Amino acid sequence: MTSSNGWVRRKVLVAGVLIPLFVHSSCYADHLRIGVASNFRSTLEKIATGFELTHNTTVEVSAASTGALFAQVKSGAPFDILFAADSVRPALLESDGHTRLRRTYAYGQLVFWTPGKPANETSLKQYKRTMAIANPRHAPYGKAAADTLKIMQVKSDRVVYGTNIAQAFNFVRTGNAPAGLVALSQIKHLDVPAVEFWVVPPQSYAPIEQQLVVLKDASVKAELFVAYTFDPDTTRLIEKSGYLVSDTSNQTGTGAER
Amino acid sequence: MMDSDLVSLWLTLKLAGVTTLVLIVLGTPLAWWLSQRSRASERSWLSNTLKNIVEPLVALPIVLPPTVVGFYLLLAFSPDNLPGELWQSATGTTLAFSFYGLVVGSAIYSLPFYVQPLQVSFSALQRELIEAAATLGASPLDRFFSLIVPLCRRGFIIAICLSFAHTVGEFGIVLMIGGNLPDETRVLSIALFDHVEALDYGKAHILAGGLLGFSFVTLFLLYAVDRRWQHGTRTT
Repeated sequence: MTSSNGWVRRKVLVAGVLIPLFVHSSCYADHLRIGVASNFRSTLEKIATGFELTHNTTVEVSAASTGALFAQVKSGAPFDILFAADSVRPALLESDGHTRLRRTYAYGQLVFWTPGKPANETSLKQYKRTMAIANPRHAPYGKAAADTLKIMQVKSDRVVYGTNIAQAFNFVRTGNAPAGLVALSQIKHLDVPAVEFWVVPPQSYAPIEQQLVVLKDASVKAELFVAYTFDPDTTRLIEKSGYLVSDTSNQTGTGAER
Repeated sequence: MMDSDLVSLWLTLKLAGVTTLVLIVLGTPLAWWLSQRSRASERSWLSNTLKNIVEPLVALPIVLPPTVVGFYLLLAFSPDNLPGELWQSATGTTLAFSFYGLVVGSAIYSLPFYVQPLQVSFSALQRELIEAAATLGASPLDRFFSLIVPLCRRGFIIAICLSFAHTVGEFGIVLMIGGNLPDETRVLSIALFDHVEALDYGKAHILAGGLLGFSFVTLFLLYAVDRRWQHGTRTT
């Protein structure tokens, strides 16, 4: 009798503690949790603010590298939407059955940045000092940067890798590397003078196709957020932040090559 | 293990070895100075106050996130700032993205792991013994090497092993100032992080398992040494 009583009490306790947790994360629809690749963070925060005002929903944004976000989702992190920096890991999540929607939201643009000096095609091709890029092995902007260095035959004496594009940017910003191949979105975010950077032509690297996924157990409001992301006003904001949106790159043909 | 991981292994051992050497040279006098507390008197007030300030400074890396140290080092190493400028004019290269930059970072980060066990060991020395050696005419250097070092060998072994192992286990600072250059700054913890980020869990397992095994064996041996010496001192 006492043992069953204890069991019941324990069960009630478990329910009392755990159910509110689950209710909070999945059924409570007025709350969205979004994981975002570091390069898109500031843009997404602007989009989220607009969405919060118009949809009476709170949005929580966590930024990390796409690889870290991927690993978190695989181990059950309660995200509703993931804005990745590539299309490889969203596709992997989809094929593993973790998602209910996958869509390209932007194409990243690579720029050559030399603080305090004019940047252009010639100065990139003649650049010989330390160059900061994101790690080509797992960061999409790093892959694009490595492609560019090869195609442009840049003879930099030392190529240093940031874990992600944010770190590569910081190596340049702190003056430890005199130049870097970084994201246009970062340049725009920091209001870098136009002479100091040069937008690398998209033909020099495989497109940086950035995809989002809505995760399987996401709130119903996740689809609303995605729709809001593809709204013409938001699309303009994404373009202004330094990205090409899918339509534009399809017209120029870069998006279809893969 | 891939070739590049072997390069990382060698680099990691080299970094831990050089860092430990630097700490032996710089940390030993520091630990000695901290351990010599004089009894309250007018003259020692300043020295004791200085020790009260330096002691928590030495311990800071234990509680600070490595990102704090890494961030300040990144700024200090920049040729736009004085330390980085001096280094660049002397060597023609930057401290960031270089092996020597990592040595600087690791020495700061492992400093408490070297100084603290040694300081404890020095404090436990019987003063009378050293004073007796002095009255018998032993020079300070002689007293240090033939009396203090053997008496404090347990402290030295623990300090050396801990700072070596702690440098092998360093990650955050290296990530922030290293730039991931093979044969220069890509140590094992960074190579492991790369494998995980690139979803290459097979290679990640080898490095993670290896580091786990190394750390366990190091600590196991340390505790064994500690037990034996404690036992030894009790019987003598």
